[in-house]
Amino acid sequence: MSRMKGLIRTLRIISQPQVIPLSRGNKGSSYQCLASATTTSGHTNVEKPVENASSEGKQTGNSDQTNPPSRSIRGGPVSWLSLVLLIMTGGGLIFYYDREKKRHIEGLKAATSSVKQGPSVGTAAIGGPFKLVNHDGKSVTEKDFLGKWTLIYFGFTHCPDICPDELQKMATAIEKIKSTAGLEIVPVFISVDPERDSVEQIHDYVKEFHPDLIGLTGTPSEVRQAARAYRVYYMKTEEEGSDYLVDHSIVMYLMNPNMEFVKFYGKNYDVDSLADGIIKEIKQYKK
Amino acid sequence: MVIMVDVLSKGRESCYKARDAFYACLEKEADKKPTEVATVGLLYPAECKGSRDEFVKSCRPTWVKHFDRQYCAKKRVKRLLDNDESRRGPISLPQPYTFKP
Repeated sequence: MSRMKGLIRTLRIISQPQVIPLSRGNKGSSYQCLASATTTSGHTNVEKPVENASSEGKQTGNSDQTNPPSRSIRGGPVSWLSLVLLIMTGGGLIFYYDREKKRHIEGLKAATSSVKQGPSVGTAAIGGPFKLVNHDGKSVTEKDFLGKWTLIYFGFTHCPDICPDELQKMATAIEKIKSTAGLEIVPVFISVDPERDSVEQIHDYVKEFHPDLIGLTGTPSEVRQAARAYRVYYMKTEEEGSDYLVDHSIVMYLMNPNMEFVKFYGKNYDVDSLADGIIKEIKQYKK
Repeated sequence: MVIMVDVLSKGRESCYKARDAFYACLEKEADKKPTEVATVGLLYPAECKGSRDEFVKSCRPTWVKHFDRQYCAKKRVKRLLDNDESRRGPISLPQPYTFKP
């Protein structure tokens, strides 16, 4: 009998479920019990104690099963704590990068919206010294126009319609600027047809438009030099008999009190936009 | 030196008036066949001969040519911008047969 008991005891030890993590639960352990039991014992009189052992094993298995549940969670790769940590890290990273990106975009927006004052590569090389004769016969140079804003227009008196329109526009704009902004601008008309535009001719021509309009003429070489300084194109077109027209660029140049070029206005500007443009340039210069 | 008076404002004004009168006449008689020759290829019907003579008298010849050229260019641009379909597009020929499958 004691031998039987010893046998039962050894069987029980063998057949007890392994203490290493077994999350499978009762079924697995009992299977192991049976498997181990059948392999270790061959004779039939062990079957009964095997059954006993298995039932006992089952009970001990149950008692052991209460511990493994806690063991299996502790050992698993994913736990509630790690999930919480992950969410916190992820959220933190998202917030951080979002803030950095916002800051970067703000920086870019500030850089583009900041006013880029004036041309960054200098002003156009327009303008320069010239020596001409005004409509009173007096010889003038560009130094005589220092200290005041000037608006220069190149044309010729025998112009059919363009020069009169432009000069009229100029005169009206000058008046408008004087009345709205109180700024004095000197209008200047330079003839690109010196062979026909004498001093008297110019005198009679300009006085029709505006009393302040100054007309300039000179010898062909002087006029050519002035036109080159202001990059003005002009060309005589051969017409019938003694009459001819002069093809020229239709543009008005705004010069500041230092006789430096500021802006040009073409045929596309009407009286109001011309006046507003000039006022804007002067205000910007004064700042 | 002699002062050319006709380019001063009074001369200009009379020239502009004659010019406008002539071109108004052209517009009015646009459906008449142009037979008379103006300058730079412009033709005008005989009805406008009177205003044409007035125009030529009041303005310098170079100016007359200049205004004619301007008028032709304006007319050309207007014709381009006109939505008149009658002078454009492919001509549709009458079908010689009708296709029956």
